[in-house]
Amino acid sequence: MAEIIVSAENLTKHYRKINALNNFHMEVHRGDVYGFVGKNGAGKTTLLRILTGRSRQTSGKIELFGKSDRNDLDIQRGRIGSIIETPAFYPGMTAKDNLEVLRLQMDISGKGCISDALKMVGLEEVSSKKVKDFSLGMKQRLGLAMALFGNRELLVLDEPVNGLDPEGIVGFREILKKLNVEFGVTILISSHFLGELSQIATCYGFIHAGKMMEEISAKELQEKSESYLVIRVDNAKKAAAILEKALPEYRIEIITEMKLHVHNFSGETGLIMKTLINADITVKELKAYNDGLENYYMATIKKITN
Amino acid sequence: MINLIKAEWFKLLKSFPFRILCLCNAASLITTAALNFLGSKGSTGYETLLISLGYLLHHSIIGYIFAAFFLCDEFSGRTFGMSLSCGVSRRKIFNTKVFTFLAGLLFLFLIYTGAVMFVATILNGFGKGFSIDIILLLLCGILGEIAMGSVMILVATIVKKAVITVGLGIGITYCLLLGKTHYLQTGIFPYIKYTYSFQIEQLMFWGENFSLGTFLAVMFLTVVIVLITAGFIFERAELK
Ligand SMILES: Nc1ncnc2c1ncn2[C@@H]1O[C@H](COP(=O)(O)OP(=O)(O)OP(=O)(O)O)[C@@H](O)[C@H]1O
Ligand SMILES: [Mg+2]
Repeated sequence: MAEIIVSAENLTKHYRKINALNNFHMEVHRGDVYGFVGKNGAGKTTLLRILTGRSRQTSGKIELFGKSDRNDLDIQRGRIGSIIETPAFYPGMTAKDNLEVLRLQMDISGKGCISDALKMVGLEEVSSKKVKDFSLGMKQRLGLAMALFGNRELLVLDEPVNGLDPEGIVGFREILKKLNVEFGVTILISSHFLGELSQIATCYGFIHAGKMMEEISAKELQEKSESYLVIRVDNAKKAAAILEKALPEYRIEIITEMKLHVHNFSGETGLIMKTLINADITVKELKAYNDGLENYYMATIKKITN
Repeated sequence: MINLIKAEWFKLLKSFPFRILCLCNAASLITTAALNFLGSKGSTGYETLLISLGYLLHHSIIGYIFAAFFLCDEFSGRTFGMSLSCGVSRRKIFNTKVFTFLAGLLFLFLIYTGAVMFVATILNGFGKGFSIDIILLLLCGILGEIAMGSVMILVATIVKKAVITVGLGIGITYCLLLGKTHYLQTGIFPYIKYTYSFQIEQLMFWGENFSLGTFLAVMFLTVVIVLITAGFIFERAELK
């Protein structure tokens, strides 16, 4: 098992009348893409703020890269890049100058790293534009460049795709994947976009009312939840009748005149394709889906609230 | 900590409000010089120095505006998080902020006082032979400015919002000045003598009715108590 680089033990955070975190536990291993999921007000941002030093816990312990002493934690935070809620920067300064502030604070020599960082997020063209004149997506990308600046080992991202356009979301996902796979950056990401999250996360933590309900790996979740096949054909009714006869172990659901879902399906798409083609049915599209995360999360929450 | 100070200066020099403050300083400088020039009985350089030190408290307006964008904007812009993510402790962030703020404030103060004195000296002569006393007077002025600056840091750290900091800061300053006038007229509330504001105004009576010991004690105590309190609050602040 990989080294644990973030851990929280019995973490509690009280605001005057609210218990934002309540004996909270969590562990993030090196190399994970940890998806942090929970309702509005569940305590996600509170936890991420404590991890990044913006807030202090009422009680309990956190450990970063194996260190838990207060002074050590401050130093270890230099290995963590973060975007909490929305990226923060000096709006009156240019993108380049914002990164220059970081460079000076981190004491990195040579200014080459600044243009490299801007290039990575595709902002080199607007490096001399004031950040207050940036679009939302540009700000988000600059936020990512700043979070990554200085060879970070862990990225803490709180709802980072808020406000991004579809292209931006895909681009963002690709960058995160690349960082994780090629550079081994560990990522702790909170998001309400479960479909999006399930495309990159390797494990999940479900938080509810300040408590960790469950930590589960993506693989375990996949095993526990069902995949289904979406097929688009010229005649869904006819296709359904043929499949039901030929493959009675699958459950067929007609969605529209031209679309059907195949449930209880084992992953064997070739046989289904062959059956349909042999029966002279035109298959326009065939794709496997798993909205396991969403269903699993909803089921977990239901169990708790009941 | 040198790298952090470099980063602060970099921000300050790039900062639009700081340039505006320098301009305001220059504008008030020209006005003072013009008044001096037009006045029938122009003051000497030394007299001008005493007056501008005595009126140091009015420099608070510039100081609080400076504190508003230098400190409060970091709270509201959530940029302290940026420094934390560079592996810098809160204590270091606070110390760097204090150091740079006081240095910036002294810079604004010295160019103003220095230039006013310079103009008056050219027009009317310095009016006093040079002595170590003048250096001591200037040092006391600097210490007064540092005490004022420390109070500004405390107000900004507690309030965290730019507009309220400026409003409250100027309010406090003028209340202290009113308190002083009230005391001088009625003798009520003599403790006002031991406030930094009262002592700073006493600089005007340098060499006459001025107690250096009281001045130094009040300033040192103000700086130490106020900065330790501000540091304590900053250490525990919820940073967005
Ligand atoms: N500064 C604060 N003062 C008082 N209460 C707070 C403060 N910050 C957060 N809370 C409360 O703590 C609880 C957890 O808030 P938090 O922001 O961590 O939720 P979240 O999981 O991030 O929600 P969302 O998905 O809406 O972002 C909420 O009930 C919130 O009202
Ligand atoms: Mg949140």
